[in-house]
Amino acid sequence: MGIPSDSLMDSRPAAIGGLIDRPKLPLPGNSPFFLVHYVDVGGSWEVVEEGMDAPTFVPVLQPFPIRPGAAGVRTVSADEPRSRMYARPLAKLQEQGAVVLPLDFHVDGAHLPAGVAAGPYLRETDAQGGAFYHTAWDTPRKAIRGNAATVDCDRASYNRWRAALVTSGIIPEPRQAVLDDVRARAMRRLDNVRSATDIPTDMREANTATARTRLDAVKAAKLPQVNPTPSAPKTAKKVTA
Amino acid sequence: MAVLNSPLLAADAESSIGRSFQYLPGLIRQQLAERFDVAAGGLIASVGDVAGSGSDTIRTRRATGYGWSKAMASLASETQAIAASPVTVGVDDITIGRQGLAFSESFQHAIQDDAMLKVDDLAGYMVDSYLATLRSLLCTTGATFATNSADPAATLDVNDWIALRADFEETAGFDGRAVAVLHPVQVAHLRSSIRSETALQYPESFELYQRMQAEAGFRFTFLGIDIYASQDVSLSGGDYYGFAYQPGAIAYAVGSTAQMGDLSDANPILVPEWGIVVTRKTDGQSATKRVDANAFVGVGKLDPTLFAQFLIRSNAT
Repeated sequence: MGIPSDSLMDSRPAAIGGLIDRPKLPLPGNSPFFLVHYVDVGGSWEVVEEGMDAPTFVPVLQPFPIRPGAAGVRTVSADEPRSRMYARPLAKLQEQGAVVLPLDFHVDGAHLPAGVAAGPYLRETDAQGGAFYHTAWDTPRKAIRGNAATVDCDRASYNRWRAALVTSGIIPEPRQAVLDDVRARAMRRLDNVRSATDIPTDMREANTATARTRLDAVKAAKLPQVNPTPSAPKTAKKVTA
Repeated sequence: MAVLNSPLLAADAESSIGRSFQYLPGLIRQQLAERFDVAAGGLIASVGDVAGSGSDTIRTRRATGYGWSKAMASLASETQAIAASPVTVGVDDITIGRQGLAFSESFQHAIQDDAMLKVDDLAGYMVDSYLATLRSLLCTTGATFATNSADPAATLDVNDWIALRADFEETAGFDGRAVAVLHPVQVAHLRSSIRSETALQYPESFELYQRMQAEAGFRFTFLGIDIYASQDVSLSGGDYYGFAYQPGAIAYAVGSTAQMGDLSDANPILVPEWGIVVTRKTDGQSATKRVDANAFVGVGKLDPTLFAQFLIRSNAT
């Protein structure tokens, strides 16, 4: 026997979102942004170790905010496509040879922190000053001290994703001079801390050790490899009685 | 009805029939706000006004390869021809955007208010909001500087500052004045690093480097670079995007509101030189008042070949 049609009820989860106060982060609102890699400029590559098997050069990705009135972004009329807001600065960046990752650039789950869904690299969180935009690797949180907020970054997965951008050919490998510049700066840093003879010996030694470790990592760093050659299987050592 | 048992307690009475209130004078709120006026600090330069130009963009020309930037060639012989030199030219764009802020209130709120929160009171603070917007636009623009000077793998320290100073010194045309805008946490990291450099610990310099905000936004000068701090400095990927530059590298343009025609029905307040127009509206039907501030202003950067400019990207934690 069928159920009378006037008894059918459309039951669904209550829309309680508007009834529950969720604490908002004490952060100023910010603007959405796309990620940009400036090609062959100082500081456009860095050496990372977290999440990598060995020290690796990865490209620096810099947020370029989409905010009318800043850095060439303009206000558009109501019927203009929103993309026109940033069409001119985008064109200028591309003229300069920068690599711009589009807003709909898809990041697969394997390159994201555990529990973060695959999707675009740009995410947003409610903050007291409006929407707070951040990357998919960032977790904004209230600072333990003070009245501000901060962002925790899952550097391991972020580093692996940046390396993958190189191996997939999206970001070109840098000129050797850019990598040499990173090494030269690490060396200069070591020289600076080593020559600070006025500070207590134990402190200078500690500073020097840190700078030397950093320099060693920078010297050993390689560019991301597409398919690193698997190490040759170790030959079993014959044991003779 | 609530029963108040003896002894009558204020805490019980207040929850039933009392009313907690707190004065919220503008002065207190002002002190809590970050008062960092980039216009007064000379951190931002004007490039002009787009009003009546038919464009939302001011294009500034730049040229080099002559005058002080071009020495004469030394010729090898009496008859060698002088090769004619090129002149290098380019343009930078500063584009305005529309910025806005509005408040509204009911007539009843206007009648009852005792905390200086009438929309007419709030309208008086619109100029402060404008300056805060200018500061925020400055930080947004500075975060787009391409060349990073700091070690992005660590928190900001003295060695980064030495490297930054060297970067300025090594830039042709640098005129000796440099400013930096950092996140307050970056300032804390730098101070902490300075603390371990005993050569910098003469009492006078220690006091100077470690002191709290001396004037709005300004912290201290270190290695000849004036350091300002703002919570508006960008934070992304676990890094702060502070920046340093030769004044002039970041500029603003406005759209003057002087020639907007008749706005008398909106009882306007115009500040044309800043591109500000504040309009008011009263609606008896819904018993509300409203004030809207629009500002037409934009901030952009000029080419690094003209003005030295560096990103100071360092770890947040």
